[in-house]
Amino acid sequence: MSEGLLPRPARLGARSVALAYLGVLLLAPVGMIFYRTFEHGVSPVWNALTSQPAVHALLLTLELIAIAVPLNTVFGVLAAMWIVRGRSRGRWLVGLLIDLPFALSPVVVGLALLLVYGDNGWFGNTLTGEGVQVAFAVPGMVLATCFVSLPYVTRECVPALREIGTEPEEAAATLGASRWQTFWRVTLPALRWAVVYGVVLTTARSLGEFGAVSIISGDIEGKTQSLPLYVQDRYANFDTVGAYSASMLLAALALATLLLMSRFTRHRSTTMTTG
Amino acid sequence: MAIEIHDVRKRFGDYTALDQVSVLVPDGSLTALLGPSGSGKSTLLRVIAGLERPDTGRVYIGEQDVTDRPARERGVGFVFQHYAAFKHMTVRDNVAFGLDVRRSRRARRRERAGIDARVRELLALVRLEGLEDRYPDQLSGGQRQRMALARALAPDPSVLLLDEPFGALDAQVRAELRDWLRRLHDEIHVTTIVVTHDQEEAMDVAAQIVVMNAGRIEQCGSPRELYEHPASEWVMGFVGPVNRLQDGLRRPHDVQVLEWGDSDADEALVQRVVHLGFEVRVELLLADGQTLRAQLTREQAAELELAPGEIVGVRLGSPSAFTMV
Repeated sequence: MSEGLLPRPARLGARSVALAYLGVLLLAPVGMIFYRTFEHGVSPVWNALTSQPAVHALLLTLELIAIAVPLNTVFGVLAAMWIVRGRSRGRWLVGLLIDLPFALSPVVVGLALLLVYGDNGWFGNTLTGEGVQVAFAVPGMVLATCFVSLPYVTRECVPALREIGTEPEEAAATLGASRWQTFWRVTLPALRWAVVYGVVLTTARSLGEFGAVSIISGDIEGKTQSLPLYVQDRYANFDTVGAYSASMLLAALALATLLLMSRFTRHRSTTMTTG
Repeated sequence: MAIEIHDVRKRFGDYTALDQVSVLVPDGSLTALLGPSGSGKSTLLRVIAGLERPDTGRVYIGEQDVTDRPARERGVGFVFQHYAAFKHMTVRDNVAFGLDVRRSRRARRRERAGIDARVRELLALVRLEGLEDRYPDQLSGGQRQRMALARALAPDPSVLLLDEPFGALDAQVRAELRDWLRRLHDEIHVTTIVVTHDQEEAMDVAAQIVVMNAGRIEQCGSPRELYEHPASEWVMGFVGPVNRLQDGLRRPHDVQVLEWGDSDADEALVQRVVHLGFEVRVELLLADGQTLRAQLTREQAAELELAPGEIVGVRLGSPSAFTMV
């Protein structure tokens, strides 16, 4: 890496610009939050984070992730298999639908869910009659989280599946493997880094989701308030310490996810060269 | 086991890949499917393996009609041009795959020693001993293809099918592997079909060659039969170099080059002399404007003192006749 494409001064210049850009966009605001959070020491932060609504918000966010991520992982891998390996004609439509959450604003997603599951929605009343509350409750938040984080695993797996090609699977078939054995022993292991990457992105997205969840949940403190909603709530109530502390927690979780991912991708690049 | 193809037809959309193809591949033979790209040879191989379903026609392996059987129940070994290695498995696990998937988890554990012994035996056969713990990415192209071969042979297939197996390798490794495949076949006598677009490879490796073109079979025969008695102009042109003259086709080595002055020879101008080691290729221009190539030995060329610009005499002989045109 010692010899770059550019001469040394140009290289230094390019690096400074890149760092400055990162600094303005990312480091300054994050650093500012960090500074503001711990401005008055650690104990107010600790108190804010251990307050009952804050703990509830954290647990609720973890619960949403624990449901949405496994669901979207299984669905995502299956959908990718369908899009790449399937023979039905509607495959392009599946691909299009899966990308929909990328295009739609989360607020629209929240409103749409409310229209379907709300008190006057399509099956809102029916479900309530059966004793299942979707809108303004955890099931609705799970739906919203699943919806916005739907595409990531599929979008990671589709190009990976294309790259692997059908030949290893055909080889497995000629060697006597059933479809099930081929999937578990050949296709899925070859896809594993794409799946890991997709899971990390799904987790990060689920963690930070605000718009859709905010509308469908009703944002009820101690009941349907996830961590991002809690941050907004504290901020709106001029509880800056509470808002900043919760933000820090959210940022720390996101950072942990990203570090985990870079650990995995580093692992991936070493396995590529040395096995 | 013998392989029999009966009137197989296969279309992909509007494209006819196989058009009423029938072939018999004798038990224990080493047969080459030879043809240009798009001739249907790979499709035919995949139909035999069960990786493609023919639209009509039947496929027999041994006595059994396998047309409706999936690939995994046909007992074929298949080797792909680009190896199709399981990249996340070691060489050992790649080779053991076909042995493992046929056993229940418990049987696998019980027969571990037997499986290991079989894998060792195969790795010795393909000369990959000591590389058991490597991953495919850590092998050269030739080693990867030998691993793929060991993997295909592991479950003791009744037929071995190779789809352009040496196509992705450089010339020297290709010649080596070709040699080695022939010796391997002498040792294990499994009915083997090699798909190739390279006539030299087909002639070098196979005892029987099936020449295909545009989804049809042009000719079946030994390398010598194909070369000496091609069934058509197309086959003659495909299995070796030819001069296309107004009155027909001639092989370059059938063109006689003499010193100018012999009464019954035609006059020709030497345009280019190419030294290919033992052989010398001469490009000639005839008086009527037709060009042709002649093939001589080094000694003949030296005796004639061939050089561009010289005038020589040529005797063309009569053009090749075909059994069907």
